[in-house]
Amino acid sequence: MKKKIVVSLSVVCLVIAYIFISYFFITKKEVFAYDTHMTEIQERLKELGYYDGAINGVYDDATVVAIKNFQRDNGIYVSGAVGGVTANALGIYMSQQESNDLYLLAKCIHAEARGEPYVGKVAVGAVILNRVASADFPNSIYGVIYQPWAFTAVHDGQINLEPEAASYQAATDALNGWDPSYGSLYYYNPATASSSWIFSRQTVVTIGKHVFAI
Amino acid sequence: MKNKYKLIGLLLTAVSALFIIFLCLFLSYFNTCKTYRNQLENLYEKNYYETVSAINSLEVNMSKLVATTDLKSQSELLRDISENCTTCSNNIGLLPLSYNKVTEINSLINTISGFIESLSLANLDGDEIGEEDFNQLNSVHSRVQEVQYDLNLYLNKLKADYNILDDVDFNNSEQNLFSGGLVGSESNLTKIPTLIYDGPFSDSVINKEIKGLENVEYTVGMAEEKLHSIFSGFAIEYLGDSEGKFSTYNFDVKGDVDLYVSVTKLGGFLLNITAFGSGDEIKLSTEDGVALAEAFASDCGLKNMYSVWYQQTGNILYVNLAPIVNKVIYYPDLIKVKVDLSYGLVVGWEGVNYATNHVDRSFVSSVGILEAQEKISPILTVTERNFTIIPDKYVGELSAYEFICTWKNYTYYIYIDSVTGEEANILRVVNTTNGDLLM
Repeated sequence: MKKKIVVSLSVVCLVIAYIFISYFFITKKEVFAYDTHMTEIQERLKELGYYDGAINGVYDDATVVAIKNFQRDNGIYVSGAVGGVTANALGIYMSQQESNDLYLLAKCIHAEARGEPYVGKVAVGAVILNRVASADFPNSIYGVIYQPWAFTAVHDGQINLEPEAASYQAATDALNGWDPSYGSLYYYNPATASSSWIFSRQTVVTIGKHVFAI
Repeated sequence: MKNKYKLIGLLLTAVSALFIIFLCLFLSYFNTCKTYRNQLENLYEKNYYETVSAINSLEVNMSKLVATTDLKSQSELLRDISENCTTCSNNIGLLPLSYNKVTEINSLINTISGFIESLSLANLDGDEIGEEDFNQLNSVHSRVQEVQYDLNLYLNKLKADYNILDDVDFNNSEQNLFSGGLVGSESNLTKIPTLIYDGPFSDSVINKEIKGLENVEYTVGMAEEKLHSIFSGFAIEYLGDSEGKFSTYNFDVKGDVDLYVSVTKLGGFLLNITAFGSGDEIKLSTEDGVALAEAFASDCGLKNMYSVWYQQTGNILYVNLAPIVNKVIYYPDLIKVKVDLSYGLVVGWEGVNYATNHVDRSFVSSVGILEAQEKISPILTVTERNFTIIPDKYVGELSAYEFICTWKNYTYYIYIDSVTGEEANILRVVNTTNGDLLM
């Protein structure tokens, strides 16, 4: 009986220790390769006789070898990765840009308005963009979203949640000019708002649980 | 008895081991927190130093601008002031100042920035700074001096081994003691005019006169009746109204997709449709989607609306419709339509620009289209030419020739003012992960 207690206690201690160690010392790392031009790169390498694999847009070993051979023959630093110099030598104009504004806006909408109707999500996105256009706020989406204490979800870290499809589409709508808040610069949930100042703003429209105001 | 001691011994060993593990973890965690805190403090102090440095340069450059009459020197100073404003604005937003303080400083910096932009434009035209501009410059300079004084006072505190984080309560913004020295700036110091020029941040742009609505006051019933004529067979529920730049009645229109629809009280204009296009399988082609958007505009009573741009994102097609009257494209009156290619439905409509701007106007020109084309760089190949009216942030709108050109695999939209013959705007199609955009 006593032996069982000792064994149980030891197991509990080990489990607790493992949980703590896992929490504090083990970080998850995710490595991924992403290049929207990979199909074009493979096609060009094939035309030039460096690649004879499948044109599938996958950055696999055969593609890396082909890129390295091409770089070696053309006096480019051999890395196996396609940067601006290699792309130019291949005759590929890498004009595509990552749409960071959309991603950040979608994250903020998801964090601030999940559970709200779709139009409420678009309205939250529109408020952020209205602030960018207003003289009283920073002049970029990043500046507005990361302004200290401006958004609860940024302050408490919920902004790092991965946005769902509706938040992406709401962000796209807002960036395309949809503004169901009609120029509002503020929104709040009357049931949870703690600042008395916010209640003094002129209400424009109520959507879901949020009151939108200027 | 022996077993009992053995058990106690084992228990003590286990508890001691656990205690040591916790202690190690606590010390490690404490050190990590301390490192994070130091890094954050360093970042805040760096931002503060850069803000002060930018404000100091801003003050000096503004005082130089007041003193010089040479156009070239003025041009250089205007460029430097613009850079000072950008640096200041970027850094102030990252300081743990209270929300109102950041807003206040941003307001000042953006006002200066906009004012400087308008002076730069005049400078490019060869105009010297006039008396009215000089007075406004002087007034803004005084305000900058006041802010500069406060910020520099606080800088001395920072030098005396003071930590910004000591005054910050992240859990309660109302109790945040860090003010960066801007204690009295909200109430006691000189106020600057909020509207000193008619530029991008001007209130007059936000409150622009509404020209495109019929002068007929609609009731909820009339608005609902109008919606029934557009969405026949849909269930329509009145949700309430809104009082912003536009006063609207808002409805929930229920069909395959739930639509949030707003109709203006004045003129009964369909102002907004917002909905989530959630279909999966694409059933309509892009061309069909564009035709659907144009037909929907026609059903809403808006004739002569044609697609001038479209962009597909997944199953959603965004179509920009513009009125084309007597072969002139009215770009300021754009209506944006969102088509769900899965359901074959219009699920979005954004008519604020049309409601704000649409009136009949004519294309004005004193420069011919061939003469205007000479302004286009010879490296470009012109593929299309159009007569347009385009929005302009300074004069509202102007008549311009549109030249769609290509170079390498880039596409450009170049607008030449049809009155002055000057280039009014240049846009390039930029391929992004979110579709093709004009930037």
